[in-house]
Amino acid sequence: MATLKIKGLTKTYGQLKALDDVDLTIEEGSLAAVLGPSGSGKSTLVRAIAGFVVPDCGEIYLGDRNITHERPERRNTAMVFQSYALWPHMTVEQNIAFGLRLKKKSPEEIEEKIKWALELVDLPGLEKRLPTQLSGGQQQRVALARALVVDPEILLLDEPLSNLDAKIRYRLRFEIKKLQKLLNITTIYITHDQEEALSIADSVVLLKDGRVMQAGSPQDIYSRPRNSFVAEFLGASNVITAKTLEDESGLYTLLGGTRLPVPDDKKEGDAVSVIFRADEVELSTEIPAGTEDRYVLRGTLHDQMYLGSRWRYEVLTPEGYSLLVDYDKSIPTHSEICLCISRERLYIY
Amino acid sequence: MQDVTQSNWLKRTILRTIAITLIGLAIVGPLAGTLLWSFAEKWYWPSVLPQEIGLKYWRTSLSGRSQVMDSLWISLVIAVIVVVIVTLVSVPAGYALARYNIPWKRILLVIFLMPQAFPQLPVFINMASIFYRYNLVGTIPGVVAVHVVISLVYSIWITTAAFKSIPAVLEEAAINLGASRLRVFFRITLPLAMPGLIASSIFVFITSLDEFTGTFFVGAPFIQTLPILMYTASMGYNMQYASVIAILLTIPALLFMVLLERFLKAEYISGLGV
Repeated sequence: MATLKIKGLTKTYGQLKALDDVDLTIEEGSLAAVLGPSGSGKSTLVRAIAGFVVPDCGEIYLGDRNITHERPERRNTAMVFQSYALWPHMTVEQNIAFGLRLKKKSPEEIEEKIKWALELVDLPGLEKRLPTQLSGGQQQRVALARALVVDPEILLLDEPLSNLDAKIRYRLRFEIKKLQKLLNITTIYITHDQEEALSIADSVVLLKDGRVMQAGSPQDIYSRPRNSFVAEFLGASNVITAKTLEDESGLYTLLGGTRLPVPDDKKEGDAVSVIFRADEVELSTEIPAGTEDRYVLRGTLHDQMYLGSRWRYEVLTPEGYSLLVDYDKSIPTHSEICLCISRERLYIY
Repeated sequence: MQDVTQSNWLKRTILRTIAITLIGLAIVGPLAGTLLWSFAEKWYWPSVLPQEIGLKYWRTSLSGRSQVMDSLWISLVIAVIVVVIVTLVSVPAGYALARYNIPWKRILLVIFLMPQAFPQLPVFINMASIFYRYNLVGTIPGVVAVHVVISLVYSIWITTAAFKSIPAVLEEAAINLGASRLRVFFRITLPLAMPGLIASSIFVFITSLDEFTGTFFVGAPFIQTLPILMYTASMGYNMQYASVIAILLTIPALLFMVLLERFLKAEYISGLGV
């Protein structure tokens, strides 16, 4: 168990920058989710930590050991692959024992450790099975057991649940979290699913085009996205593009006739994105008063979708915006309604 | 209405029966002829069937130190040596071609194909004249060399495909847990590639056992492999011996073909596109 420090890590494939000056610290015993769309460099990052990708420049420290140029087999990382990568010609037991045999453990200790690992991942009794005789969820558990049994300094999970169906994914997500806390093992969890990242991680790192867009606690990254990409990636689906205006009192933009402040780096005429989430809007059929910290938009209900606990409405505003809004009551289509958004729920970039 | 469908059905059945019989005859016919000849003690033209049938030729062929048995041993020894040499070359070569980005990979594979691309006779005559300089003509090493050149191309293509069908991530998982490259190869890669390697070896074994032209130019008359002996026998109108040898040569090929079908998985065939 150790703290992982990454400094200025860069990797280029031809013209493509897979990793672009990535700085990152993952505290000992914590679980960091690396989140990003496909092609954002998250797999390259985890493969660089495991030693399968040689970075162009930058350094990786595991504890106080510089492992940047260490051979992958000497790094003492343990990786769980998206495809599980269980060896099909070996039984569950042989798969798990592989790493232990390499460490020259005694047969008694190996047997004991296998038992411990299988109980840990809740798969006792399957020692003699072949991987092909297991379900996807079971295979993933074996892969996890195989990685954990060698006492790695850091656990690398590369989209471990993305090949499983939703129900098993939810369960395994919490089991992984529990195991990680139980063993207090420094863990990097790669995922493209923002909900998965937020629910499991102590800290979230959001990557785009090989760059760290934002790193912080799940709460921080969700409620204070640093730029429009982060906001949109974390589920803020309503994006309104407006123009920066200027008068004697300073820069501003107009949203539904209401004055909104804009970031300081804007100039008059620049485009401004105003972003908010569908479930952070209040919907009402009467026109409420706009106040200092509450903005009001008028619109017409255009379409609706039933989500079980609530409805999601598509609202068209007179300005021509199409917005998504969640509400827990049914409202007939074509109703005239009002959207109220509190100031702190509006992200303006 | 029913009559029409019934007559259609009848027509189809008759046509099918004829087609299947013809195909069957085309395949089994020559084999059946050979089988008959091997048991014929007297068979004069124009009789359809042999006048006398017996085991005489089988008995003399298979008895202790007959020429057939000598040739069988030489053929088997050569085939085994060829399999060993070809495997030792094609396993590392196939692995390298499958895993590493070798410059000129395609050209390299085409070069291995070269001896097959040209007409066989000039290639073998050339080989014989080269081998003559090194005193390899008429020796077992000479014949082995010819067989190795012929089978290497198949073997390298099949082993490359076999290694390619193993996901690299299985090797990475082992390295990640601390295994050296050598250990990964022997504990993970090789066992997983084994069906393909066995298929390739079977292929090479049969190719060597049946090889005639190259052996004829480089080995004959001193190295009498089974196909060479069969040729000599049939040239001397000794159809019975020739037929016995033909059947002896068919048995391992048939046996191995059954095995081959089990080992040569569709994944390997799809892996052939390099």
